[in-house]
This record gives sequence, C-alpha cells and structure tokens, in this order.
Amino acid sequence: MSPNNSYPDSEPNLPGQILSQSRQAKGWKESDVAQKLHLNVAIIQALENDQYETIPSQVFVNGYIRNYANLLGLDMAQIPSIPKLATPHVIHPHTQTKSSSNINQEIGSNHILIRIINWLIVLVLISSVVLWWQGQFGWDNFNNHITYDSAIAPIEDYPESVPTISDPSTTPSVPIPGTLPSEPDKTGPSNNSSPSHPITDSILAPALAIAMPSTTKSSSENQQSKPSNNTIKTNLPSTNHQNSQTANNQTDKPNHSVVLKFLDACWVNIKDSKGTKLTRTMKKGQKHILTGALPYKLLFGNSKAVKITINNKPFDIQKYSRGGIAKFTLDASILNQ
Amino acid sequence: MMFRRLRGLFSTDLSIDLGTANTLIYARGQGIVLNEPSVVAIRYDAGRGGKRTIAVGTEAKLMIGRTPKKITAIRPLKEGVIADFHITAEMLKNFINKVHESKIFRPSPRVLVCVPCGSTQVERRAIKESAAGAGARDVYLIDEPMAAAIGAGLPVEEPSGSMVLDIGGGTSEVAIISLNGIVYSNSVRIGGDRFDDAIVSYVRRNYGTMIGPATAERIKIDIGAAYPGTEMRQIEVKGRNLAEGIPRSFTLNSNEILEALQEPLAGIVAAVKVALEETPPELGADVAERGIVLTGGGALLRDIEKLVQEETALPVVVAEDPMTCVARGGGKALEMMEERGLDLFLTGEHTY
Repeated sequence: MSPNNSYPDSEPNLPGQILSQSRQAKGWKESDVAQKLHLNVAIIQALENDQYETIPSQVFVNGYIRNYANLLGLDMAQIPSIPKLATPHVIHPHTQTKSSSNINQEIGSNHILIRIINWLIVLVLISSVVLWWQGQFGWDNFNNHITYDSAIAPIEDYPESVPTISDPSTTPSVPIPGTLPSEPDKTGPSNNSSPSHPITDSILAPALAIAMPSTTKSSSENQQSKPSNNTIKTNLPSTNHQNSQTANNQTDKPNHSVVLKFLDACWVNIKDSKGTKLTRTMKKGQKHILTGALPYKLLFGNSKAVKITINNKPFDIQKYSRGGIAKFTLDASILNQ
Repeated sequence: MMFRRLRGLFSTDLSIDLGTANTLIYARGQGIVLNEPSVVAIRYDAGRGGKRTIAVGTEAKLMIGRTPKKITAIRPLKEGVIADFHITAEMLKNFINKVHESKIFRPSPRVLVCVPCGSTQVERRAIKESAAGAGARDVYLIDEPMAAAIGAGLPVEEPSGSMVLDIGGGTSEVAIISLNGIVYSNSVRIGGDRFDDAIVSYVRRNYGTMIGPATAERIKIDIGAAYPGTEMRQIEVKGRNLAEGIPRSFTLNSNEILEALQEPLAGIVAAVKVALEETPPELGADVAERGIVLTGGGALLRDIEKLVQEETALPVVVAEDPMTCVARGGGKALEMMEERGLDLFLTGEHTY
C-alpha cells in the first residue's frame, strides 16, 4: 500500500486503517516505522492493509499492532479489536490427526455423561458393599457370643434384656427377656419349664447349674430373694449333689447378677477369686454378665463408659473412679447391699 | 492404587505452573482456576505436634514480614526450584483441593508441572515427588519455555524457529523452539525476586532506608520500568531509616527504579544474546524475521520489550496475558498429549 492511499471519511473500523492514518498524520514513511520496529516493510504494509495471513501467528499480529500503536502514541483502547486469524496456513501431519481426534476429545473424562456413569458405578459398588456388610454384621453378632474360651467362662457376652437368673427363688427355666419379674410367682420351685431360646441356651448353661441347688430350699425362701443371696460358701453345705466335682463347680457360680454395659470403648481387667482373668478392650454397646467366683477385682480404664447393674439395681462406679480409672473389688457384702 | 484410579475419575487434569512467586493452575476445560502466591504460613506449636499450616496463598502472603515468633510465612520455592520439599507438597495439596469442587472424593488428578529448563535431575525429581505427595495420580513434567511458547500461541509445530523469553519470579528462561522441540534453551536465575532485591539494595544505598520485599514489589509494579520513557512516575513509600531507626517517608521516581534494575536486566539481556549466538543460522533467520515473544510475570514490567528490542535489534512482542502463558500452555500440552497419545512436549525426566 502506498502512503498516499486514501480512505473514505467514514469511521475506520479496522486497526490497519487507524495505524495508517496516524502514520500519515505524522508524516512518517512505512520504511521509517519498519526501521523503528525492526520489522520488514512488507509486514508493516500487511498490518496497515489488515492482511494478517502472511504473519505466522496471532501472538505476533497482536504484538506488532501494539508496538506500532505505542510508537505512534496511540492508546490501545482506540484500536479496534483485531480479528482472529484463520487456522495456521502450514499443513502439518499432526494437524490432520488433530481434527480427527477432536471427537474423542469431546467425550473425555470430564464429560458429564462419563461422570454420571461413574457415579452410577460407584453407587452400585457402595450399595453392594453395604449389603455385604449387613451379612457380615449378622455373623459378627453371633460370633460375639461364642468367642470366649471356656476356661474364661465366668464372663460371658449376654444380651442386655436377659435378666438375673441366679436368684434362689427362680427356677431353672431360662428367663425370657422381659418376663423376669413375674417368673417366681409363675413357676415356683418346679423344673418343668425348659429353655426357649437356642442361643441363650448355651450362654446360660453355667447359670442353670447355679440355680439348681437353690431349688432344694424351701418354698418360703423363694419369696425372699435377698437373704438367699448369701455367699457361695453358705450355700455349699446345703447342696446335695451326687457329683462333687459338679458341686464344686456349682459353688463357684454366682447367685447374683452383675451386668456390665459399655457406653463407649473401655479397657477392662477383671479377675475373680480363682484367678480367671479377662483383659481386653470392650467396644461401645457391648454387655457382659459376670459369672465367676467372688470376689471380683475390677479395673476399668474408662469408668465413665461403664454402667454396672447388680441384681437389677444400678451400681455407682464413680465413687471408685480416680482420673477416669476405676479400680475396686466386688465382694459379697457389696453385692448384698 | 485402585482407589487412586477411582478417585481419578472424579478429578480434572491439571496443569500447574509451580512458580517461585506465584502458582497457577489450569484445569482442563475450565481455564485458569487458581492464581495465588506461592507462600505458606506455618505455625510452630510444640504442644500440638510441631508444624501446622495455617494459611496458603494470598492469605499467607499478607503475613510476610508481619508474623509473630510462632508463625513463619515461607516461600517454599527459591529460584524456580523447591527449597522446602514438605511445605511445597502441603501447598500443592491445598491448591489441588481448592480447585476441586467435589468434597466427597479426595482428588487424584493427572498433573502436568512446568519446570525450569535449567533445573537438575534432583530438582525435577523433587518437584515430581512433591506433586505425587500432594495426591496427584500421574505427574508429568514439561519445560517452562515450551509451555510458555504453547500458551502464547507460537507455532511450535512448524519447521521454523520461535524464540520465547519467559521471565518468572525466580528464573528467566530463553529458548528456541522448532518442530515441537527445544533446539536451544538457557536459564538464568534472575527474575522478579531479583528485581525486588535490587530495589531494596538501591533504597538502602541511596536513601539509607530499609524497606521490605513487599514494599519493593509494590514499587516495581507501580513505577518500575526497564527502558527510559517520556513519562516520569512517582511513588511515596515508607521505610525504616537506618541512621535514626524510626520509620520515614520518602518519594521514589521511575528513573531511580530503572537505575536500580539495570543489573538484573543486563543479566537477562545477556542470556538472550547468548541464545541468539547459539541458535543455528536457519532458525536465527526465522527469529530475526518474526521476533522474540516475552511471557511470564516479568514481561509486565513497563517497557521491557523495548529494552530487549533495542538491545537485540529484533522485533519483540509481549504475549497476551503473559503471566498465565505457562499454565495455559501446560494445559494445551496435556490435551495434545491425549490427542496424539504421545508425550511430545515432556522432558526426559518423566520416568524414574
């Protein structure tokens, strides 16, 4: 384009026209501008004619126009926006693969459809894990009852609702949860009722043995539950069993009910008079009945998490608690209170 | 590993410009999603297990020079490379979590990190492991000038030379690129931080007053210039007078800052000249015809393109939005990599 090229009077709407007019107003030649900007005259002409195809990239077009405008003292705000360049004119082997792979790119890992499918897969996985877990949970419950070694029989897992069973006034029948208060009246000394629950049957086996000797007592004693909760030794002579071994075992079994309920995780160390020990960490929600030989030596690591019920009466553990740890001995005198 | 892949399904590919001064994150399909200073504030608490991160990014930067004894505002990167490995990993983890909306799954994205071309294998490995420690599923590295060139929109695929000068916070990188590869690259450990240091030294030397790095940065942004201009700018700053020991106010002008910046600017210009000397003649001719493209935060220094233009007698242009060029270029490189199934732009250090 020659410097004398004239433009219509209308408002210029392309950057080249503004640049060219400003340059002409200053009386500069294209070659002057090219020298100052260290560019070819051809590039200056291309910029003024708004023909950007010869310039290799958009970044250069924008940069050259900005530099040209600065040289002429123009504000960039006065320059109309530069039209976007067409795609690069150099055909490269990669560009062909680019266009064909655009389809693949559109459905990438960020695509909403893929994300929805992913979410569905995860939901299915989570629900199947939950179902599996429920199955496992049932097993866990069952196993809780039978995990103890028979040598550590004094302490058993036991459902909370199973009440005291060793009161002399009770019968050998297995107490059904919630039926305890009426039991002495209903059954009396007769042994005609049988265990009704298959799981509790195995748990209650030692307790049944305890209850047996006491049934030989007079029915008058049946009405007095507390006086009959004597120490084991006092009951022992009254038993008249054939098998002395069994008798000894029976004397070890308590005629009281000590139920431990754990409101939170708690470390316990329980020892009975025979030296049988239980040392473990109890989990939240676990319940236990102590059925060992008196006296018990108890140590709780987290006394606030333990709730003790003796013969259906709450027992205050906090008076033995020091700094959260409770250590005390449960003997007959305490149990009979 | 399997869980990482699962979490990866809910993560976006990221390109991270782990800079000395600022960290930028480009999320695929979303653009620049994070641009924050590379600063971490740490609280030392002996009773609670030692160090604890209390702030990252802009919030932490505000604390620089204003912290009590127990808190330290740290810049974990120095001169483009990791100076504190664990704090860098912590900062990256924080940033990656920030850019992921989903709080259900801990993100495990594929990450491309831009590294200075002059960094050693040890420094690259530190960056890679730091990103992996921040939860990245796969970590790729790319040379910063290559990412900058792609981000600026240079025709890197063409069989012609393109020269890019990326002036960052800690380093300045100059490279000649052709056919998706770096023909020559050079890195000098001069960047925005050195400009700030130069201003601090100048003020101490000429005004006998001590100013902090944050004030120096403000001076640089407001009135800093790399080439004498017609317009004179002034700024009033406050600093501690070394003789009196009390804060004093004084005025600086742009010519003084120009004088202060002469030394670091000369270092950058020298690096460009060395690069031009080392460039093969065919590519040199391409560069002479088209010019040099400036990227990085340093390109925002007033009239820096004029300085390089006058010193090299070549056309020089500043890229659009120069600060984000590296992060955007990394994002484009990730896309190109996926399209072609090739790691065209990655450095040789992506496996170890």
